[in-house]
Amino acid sequence: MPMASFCKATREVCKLTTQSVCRNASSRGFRSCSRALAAQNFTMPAMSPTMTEGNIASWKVKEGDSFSTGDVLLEIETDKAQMDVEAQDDGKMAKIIQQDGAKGVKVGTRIAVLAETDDDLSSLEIPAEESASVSSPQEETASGIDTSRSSESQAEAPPSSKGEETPPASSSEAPSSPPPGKPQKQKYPLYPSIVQLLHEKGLPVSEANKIPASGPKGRLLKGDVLAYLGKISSSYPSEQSARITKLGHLDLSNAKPATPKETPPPPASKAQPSAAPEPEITETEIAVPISLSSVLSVQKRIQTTLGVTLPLSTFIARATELANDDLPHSTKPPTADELFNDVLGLNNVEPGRLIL
Amino acid sequence: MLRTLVPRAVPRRRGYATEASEHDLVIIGGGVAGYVAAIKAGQEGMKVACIEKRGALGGTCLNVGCIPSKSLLNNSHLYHQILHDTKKRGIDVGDVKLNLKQMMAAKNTSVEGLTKGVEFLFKKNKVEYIKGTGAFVGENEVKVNLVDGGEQTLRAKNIIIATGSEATPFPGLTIDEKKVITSTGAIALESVPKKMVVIGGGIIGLEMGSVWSRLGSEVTVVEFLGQIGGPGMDAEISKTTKKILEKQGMKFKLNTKVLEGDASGEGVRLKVEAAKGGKQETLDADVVLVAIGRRPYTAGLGLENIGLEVDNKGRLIIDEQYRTKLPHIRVIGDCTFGPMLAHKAEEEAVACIEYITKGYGHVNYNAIPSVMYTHPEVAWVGQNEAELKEQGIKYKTGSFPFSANSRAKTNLETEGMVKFVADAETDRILGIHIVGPNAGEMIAEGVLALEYGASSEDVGRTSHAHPTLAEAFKEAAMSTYGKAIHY
Ligand SMILES: Cc1cc2nc3c(=O)[nH]c(=O)nc-3n(C[C@H](O)[C@H](O)[C@H](O)COP(=O)(O)OP(=O)(O)OC[C@H]3O[C@@H](n4cnc5c(N)ncnc54)[C@H](O)[C@@H]3O)c2cc1C
Repeated sequence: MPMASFCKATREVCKLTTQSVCRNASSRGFRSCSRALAAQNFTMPAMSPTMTEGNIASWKVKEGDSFSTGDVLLEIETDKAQMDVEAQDDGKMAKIIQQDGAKGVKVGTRIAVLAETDDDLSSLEIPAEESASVSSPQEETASGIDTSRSSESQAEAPPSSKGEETPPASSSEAPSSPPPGKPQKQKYPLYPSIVQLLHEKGLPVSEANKIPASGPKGRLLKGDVLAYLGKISSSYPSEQSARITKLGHLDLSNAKPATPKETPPPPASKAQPSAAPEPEITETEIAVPISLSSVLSVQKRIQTTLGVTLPLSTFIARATELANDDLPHSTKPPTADELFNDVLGLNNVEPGRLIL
Repeated sequence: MLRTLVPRAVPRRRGYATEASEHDLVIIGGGVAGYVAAIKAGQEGMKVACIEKRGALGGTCLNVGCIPSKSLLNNSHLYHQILHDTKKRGIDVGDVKLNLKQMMAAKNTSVEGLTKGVEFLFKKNKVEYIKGTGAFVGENEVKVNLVDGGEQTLRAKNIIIATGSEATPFPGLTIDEKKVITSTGAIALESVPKKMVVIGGGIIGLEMGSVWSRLGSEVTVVEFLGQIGGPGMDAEISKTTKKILEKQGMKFKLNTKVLEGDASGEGVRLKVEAAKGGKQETLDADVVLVAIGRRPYTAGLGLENIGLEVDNKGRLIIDEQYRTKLPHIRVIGDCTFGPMLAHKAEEEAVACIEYITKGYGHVNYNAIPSVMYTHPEVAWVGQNEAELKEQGIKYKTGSFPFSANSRAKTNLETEGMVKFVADAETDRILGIHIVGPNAGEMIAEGVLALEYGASSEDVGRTSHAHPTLAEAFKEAAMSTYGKAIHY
C-alpha cells in the first residue's frame, strides 16, 4: 500500500471568486494530514490575512459524496467577499458539522470531517474536534496549514495553524507564492531532468526529498526543482499544477438545462389562459376498418412452422412503420429517431423479416 | 454496498410483458460506454442487464464508426499504395483491380468478429443482454420494447444511460444514405462515386474523404472554419496535413459555407459561399457526405417521464460523478459532456462503475488523445498553441520533421513532424501534436508523459530505439528544451 494513501493530505485551496480580490487578499492553502486517523477535521480556512471568521453560504457536497481535486466543496462568505473553497486532493465528505447558513464561524473551528475516497464511512472513526490539524508527530512531512500563499507572511497565519509546517525556504522567502506541494520523500524514480539538474548544481540527489512537489500524486517535477533553485518564481509550479488539474476535469461550467424544451406556444385555437404549454401538433384522426384475417393466418403459419407465437402487436407495429414509410417527406423534418434509424440502416434490414 | 455477489438466475422471458426481479444495474445502450460499463459491473459481481436496440453490441464505434472506417482506411491505403507507390520501391505489380465488394466484406468480417466478441464477453461476465429499445417509465423502471416482439420491464437500483450520438443532419438535405450520406452510408457505398463533396472537414469527413479519394473519387471538402481537422488540431499541424492531403488529390474549400443543397436531380447540387459572405458557387457531386458533427441521442428514452434535463446541445446534464439529478441514474459516453471518442466513453464507463461500487472513480480529461487515421495519421494530446495563447500561458515549442528521421527516410515516408508545446518556465509538457507515419501509436507515449507531468527534457533524456520513428518524438522533445541532434 503506497504511503500516499495513508498520508494523502486533504488540503483545500481556497480560491476567491473574484479575480481582483484574489490578487490582494489571496487564497490560502490548507491541509491536514494524518497517518493515524483516516478521517480528518476540516476547519474554517482563513481566506485572507485579516479574516477571523466567516459564514458558510452553502456546502456543494453532501455527506457521503466523494470529491476530487478542484471540486468546489463549499462557499464561504465574509463581510468582504464570497469565496469558493476547492479541494486540492481527492476525498470524501464524512460529516458536515457547520451547516449551510452558519454565521460567524471562527477561523480554525471545525466545520466538517473529511475522509479518504475509499474509506467506508459507516466504520469511520470521527476524530475529536481538538485534534483538528494536529499533525501526527512521526510524519516527517509535517501537516497543518500551508501558509505559503501570496502576500501573507507567517505572522498573518490564522489562529488554527497549530500544526503549522515550516514552509520550504524558497517559498517563505518569496512571500507571494501559492501553496506549493509538500516536500516529501520521493518514492518514485526521479525524472531524468531532475537528476541532471541536481547533479549540475552539485546537490545530492537526496535533496529531492526537500523540494516541494507539485506533480501528479506528489511527484517531483522539473519545474519544482527550477523553483527550488530560484530559477523561476516559487509559486509558478503549483499554480501551473492547479491549472492543469482543472483541465483534467470535465468542464461542466456550461451544464445548463436547455430553455424549457423550446415549448411552442399552445395552439391558438385552444386559447386556455393558464393551460400548460402543449406541443403544437395538429392531429387528424382517420378511422379505417381493416381485416386482420391474413395477419392471423400468417401468425398461425409461423406458429405451426416455427413454433413461435408472434403477438398481434408486432404485426401492427410493423404495419404502421411500413405505412408511415410511404408518407411524403413533408415539411416536417425527420425526427431524430428516424434519422438515427437511417444512420443505423435499420430501414433497409427490417422489411421482409416479418413478412415471411 | 450494492453488490449482489451471487447473481441469481433469471429465466429469460421473451415476448411477454414481464415483471423482472430487481437488478443492481440496468444500462441503456450497448455501445462502447454501455458495454464496457456492463462488463465492468459484471466483474464487480453486480446483477447487470444491458439493453441495446441495434441487434448488435458495440454501438456506433464497432458497427458504423471506428472499426469499419479503419478497416476501409487500411485497405484503401494498401490499394492506393500498390497502385502508386510500389514501382519506385522495386516492386512491379501487374494488373491492380479494386474489388469493392470484397473490401466491404473484409470490413464486415472485422465488425462481426468484434461485436460477437463483445457478446461473448457479456456471457463470460454474466451480463444479461436484452435486445430492444429501453425507455424510462419510472425513476427505477425501464420498459423495453423487445426487438423480437413484446416488452419487458426492468427494475433497477442503478441505471446508466449510454445511448450515444447520431450524425447531425444538414438542414435542407435529406439523408438517404445513397446520394446524401452520413458516415454510415460512406462505409457502405456500393460503387466509387465519380465526384464526392464532403461537408465538414473534421476527422470523420477527412477519414471518409480519404477512403473514397484513394479508391478513385474526386473529393472536395467544404469547411466553414479556416482550418481542417476541427478546432482541437494544432493550426500548424492542420496546415501541414492539408498540404499532404492535397498532394494526394483531395481538394479543399476552407472558410466556405454550404448554403443549400438540391438532391432532386441525378446527383446533388450544392450552393456554397465564402463564409464571410460574397462569392457564390455551385458544386455538383454524385454523392454528398454530411460530416458536420454528431449530437447526443436521447430520443424515445422517456427522459420527460422522470424529469431529466438536457442542455441546449442535447447533452444530458450530469455532475462530476456522472450523476443526473436523480443520483442513481448516471450518464456516460457521447450522450453527455466531453469529447465524443470511444476511449473517453470507455474510461468513463470504468470510472462510473467504480463510483457506484467504490464511491470513487477518475478520468483525466487532459490526457485523452485524439487521432485522425488518414495517411499519414494525425494525433495529439493536451493543449495546442491557440488554446494556450488564449489563456495567456507562456510556452515554447520544439519540433522535428520526419524528413530528418532515419527510419522515415528508409521507409520513404517522410512527410510530417512531431511538435512539443511545453511551459516556458517549467518545461512541463502542455501538448504534443504529430502528423506523420504511425502518429496514432506514437501519441501513447505523449499521453503517458502528460499523465506523469513530464517535462520535454524527461522525454529527451529517455532512450528510444534506433532506427525507429519514435526517435523523431525524442528529438522533438530535445529541440524543445535544447537542440535536436539530427536537425
Ligand atoms: C465514422 C465514425 C468514426 C469514428 N471513429 C472513431 C475513432 O477512430 N476513434 C474514436 O475514439 N472514436 C471514433 N468515433 C466515435 C465513437 O464511435 C463514439 O465516440 C463511441 O461510439 C461512443 O460510444 P457510446 O457508447 O457513448 O455511444 P454509441 O456507440 O453511439 O452507442 C450507443 C448505443 O445505444 C443504443 N441505444 C440508443 N438509444 C437506445 C435505447 N433507448 N434503448 C436501447 N439502446 C439504445 C444505440 O443503438 C447504440 O448502439 C467514430 C464515430 C464515427 C461515426
